[in-house]
Amino acid sequence: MIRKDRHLLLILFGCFSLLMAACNQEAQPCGQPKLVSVSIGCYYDTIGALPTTSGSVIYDTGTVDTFLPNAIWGYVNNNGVAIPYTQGPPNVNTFSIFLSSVSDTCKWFVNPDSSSTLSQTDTLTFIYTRQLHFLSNACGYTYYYALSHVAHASDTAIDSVVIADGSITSNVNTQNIKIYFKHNGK
Amino acid sequence: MHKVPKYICCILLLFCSLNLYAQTDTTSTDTTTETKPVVKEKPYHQLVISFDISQPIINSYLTYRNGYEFAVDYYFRKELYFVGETGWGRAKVNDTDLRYTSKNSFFRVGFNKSLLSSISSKDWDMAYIGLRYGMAFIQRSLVSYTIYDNIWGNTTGQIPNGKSFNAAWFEIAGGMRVELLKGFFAGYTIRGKFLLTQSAFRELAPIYVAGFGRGDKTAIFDFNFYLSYALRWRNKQVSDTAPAASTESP
Repeated sequence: MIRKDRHLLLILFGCFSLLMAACNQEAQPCGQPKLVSVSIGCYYDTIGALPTTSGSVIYDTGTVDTFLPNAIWGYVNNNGVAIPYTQGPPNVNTFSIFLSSVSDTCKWFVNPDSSSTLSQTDTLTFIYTRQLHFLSNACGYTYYYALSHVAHASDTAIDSVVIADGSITSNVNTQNIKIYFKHNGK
Repeated sequence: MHKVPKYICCILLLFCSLNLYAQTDTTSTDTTTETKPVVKEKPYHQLVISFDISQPIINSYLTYRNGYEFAVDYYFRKELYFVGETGWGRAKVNDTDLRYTSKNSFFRVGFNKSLLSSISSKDWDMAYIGLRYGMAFIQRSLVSYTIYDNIWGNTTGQIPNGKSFNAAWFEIAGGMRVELLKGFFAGYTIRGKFLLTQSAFRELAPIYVAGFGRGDKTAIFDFNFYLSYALRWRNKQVSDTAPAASTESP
């Protein structure tokens, strides 16, 4: 009787465990983005005197999120042609772009309000180094980037660009760049 | 490493069930055949050679991998078995974005402690727990990759020259083995495996390492189903303490 119990236990555990082990070894699909993106936040600088509607002046020493009214952004391809990538929903204050994996520099443009004829399109030039990074057997390789410089043209809506975190990786919780727009275009 | 507690819980649960089973086993023996003493020491040496038949089954439907495993264990004394395991395998990744092959051999050494009390000197059934230390010697081919990028264009490259490296891990094992015919066993081993050399896999973790499993995981649950054959010879130094039980067929 004892032997029969053992045999039964052997078979039951064997079937269960074979199933578990086989499932454990199945190849997994890629469950993460294969390209890393640069997260950009939009702000305007309120340091200094700000006129109010009543004509008085207030003084501020901080920054405020800028909600781009009708933003459109895109990239400048290898032939110098500006190609729209995304037209964001109204009043976005963050967006993402992708750096080139075939070059150590690339250009993106952003227009804060494409519905306005007065709105200017600004071009940002990103300069960086690439680092090949293994994601997983399911996802393969990707490039991580070390962002060293972001240039922008003068006399545009952008006041300044700050690299908050130049390490561009799979970490999506970090804002990499802060763009400070001129307040009321000034 | 967040899966480590899960695997430890599974193994502990298994051990608890085996332990309960072992206790039930002893009790039933005591109540039904009170004259049969529990065998303190077996008057035999035993060397068991095992082949893992689950590997060819898994090989047949997981086409990216191929592995074979063998085991040898030797009965030391007091239900303690020394275990040596070896094998080899290979893996092939041939996706659109990643292509390479790897192959490795491995060994594991450790021990099993049977939780079942023998009901006779010829009772070699066992429910056991054990520990292992494993090591694999891995060779990887050159790696070809393609990074797909709709905006800037695709990038194709190679990591030239294969690479040889080692991996080490330890295991908590538990299982059961039953003598179906005289000298022929069937049994399984459930293993929780924990990688010790994680840095070796940082550059590119092989999709499969024979003896360990998926190289991209640091903690693994694994299983072997063995068919075994036992070689036995009498130990002259230990007398059979249960002559009444020796008439029982195995």
